[in-house]
Amino acid sequence: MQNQITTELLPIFDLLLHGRIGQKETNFFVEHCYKLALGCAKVHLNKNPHIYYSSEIKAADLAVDAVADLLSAVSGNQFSQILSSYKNWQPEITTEDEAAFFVNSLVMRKVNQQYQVALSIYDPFYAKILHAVDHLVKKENLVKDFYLGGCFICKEKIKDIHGKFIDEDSFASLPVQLFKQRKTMLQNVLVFLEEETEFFAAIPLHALIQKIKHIDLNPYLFKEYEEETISFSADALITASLQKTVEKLEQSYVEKKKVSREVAEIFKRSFIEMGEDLKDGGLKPSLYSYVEQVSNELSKEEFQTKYHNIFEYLTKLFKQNIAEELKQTM
Amino acid sequence: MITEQDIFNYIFFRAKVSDGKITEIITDEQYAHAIEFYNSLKSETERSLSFNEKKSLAAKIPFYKFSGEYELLPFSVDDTENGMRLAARTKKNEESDSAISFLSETKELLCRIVPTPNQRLLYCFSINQEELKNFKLVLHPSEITFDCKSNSEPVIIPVDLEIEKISIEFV
Repeated sequence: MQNQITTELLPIFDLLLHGRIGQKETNFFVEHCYKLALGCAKVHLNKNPHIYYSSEIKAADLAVDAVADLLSAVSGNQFSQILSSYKNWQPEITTEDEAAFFVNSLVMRKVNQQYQVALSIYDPFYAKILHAVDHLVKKENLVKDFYLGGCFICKEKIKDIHGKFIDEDSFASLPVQLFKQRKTMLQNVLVFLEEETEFFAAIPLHALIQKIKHIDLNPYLFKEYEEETISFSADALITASLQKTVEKLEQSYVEKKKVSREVAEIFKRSFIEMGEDLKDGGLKPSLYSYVEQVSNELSKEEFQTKYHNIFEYLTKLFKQNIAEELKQTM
Repeated sequence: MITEQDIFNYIFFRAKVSDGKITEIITDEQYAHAIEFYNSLKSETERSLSFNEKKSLAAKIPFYKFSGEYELLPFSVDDTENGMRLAARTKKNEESDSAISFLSETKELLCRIVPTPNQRLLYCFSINQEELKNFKLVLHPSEITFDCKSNSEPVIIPVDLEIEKISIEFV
């Protein structure tokens, strides 16, 4: 079994370059990419267990999406993305291990992209902060690079490893003061990691976004640093979005007597709980769990048969409203 | 100087890494997490994909072909060339000595027909013990067909039915 997975990769690239790849090799290549993606997706999801993509089965969905994206056809050629990267990869790929590492690197990047897509869907604040951080990275002439499937912000591309990469928990406990000044935030953190810790000077992107979010969502800190942080008022956004959703509930369902006033009240309280979860990272997989959290008057059976579709629609609308509000603040 | 590719090679292509680097990777605690990461990836790459995973890939990637059709032919339990070891669940059954087994060419699927006093029971198994879902079972040459939702229950087949081959198609 040793090395079995990679010994066929270099010949496959040769076949791809000459347009002679057969079905067997294609299937092997797709499955190999999927397995790498799945392994990487599981690591990502273990770090973020509270979002929808939380079980192994969902990790498989993330992996399939990543491979499908990698192999999506450009100008009718499904391998064009890979071949383009293969030709431009430095140093030039000449051996099996280099080909295997290349495929591994490409898949890891795609998994990371899909992970960002998933987080953006389930957590409307994620996309907003990511956008702001990307802007800062460019402005500060920093780079984003990958290590073990994770995305890091550094001063230059990661060449060799001299020091441990900071883990998410350690990053979360970094002093808040480092993140106070928006313009110098990234440089401050990099210098702190380099000079004050034994960690490698690289900022884990997802951990950074979570850190910014929690600083901004703390009302006290938010007020104090309003001018300088990558700031937005999550509470205000959620309140505005909730109001719009409740208006829809009233107009389309309560007034038309599709939902009783009592059930509408349960829905409203559920959406408030949902708003809190969105601030913290994502929604629970079961919609009924929000109903259950605020009232025991609506049984699961009654919810599923009478109200699930309405509640699901309003939840979708709630998230869309948040996304709209966020767009307006960008 | 240790790079990520050195650690990757240490796990997948150890012969490509110099002795000095191997010593450094093994002894320096800072590489432990990377070793763990690539070891878990290696484990993933060494396993066979399940039918459901293949179906998911085929649904999203048009040029990945998974026909989902398998042909199973009779084989003997003593057929050592197949390298098969049957699970002995049916051994308790007194009739199991006259049971017949069918194996797919890929050795992924196994069917076992177990006679009981009044009927014959056909069990389907995946070699990697995965639950099989939503498949069509065709017995040849009679062409008798069963639509199965799961392999958790056996299919009851006529006592005297001749079976030369079994087809399984995932739908």
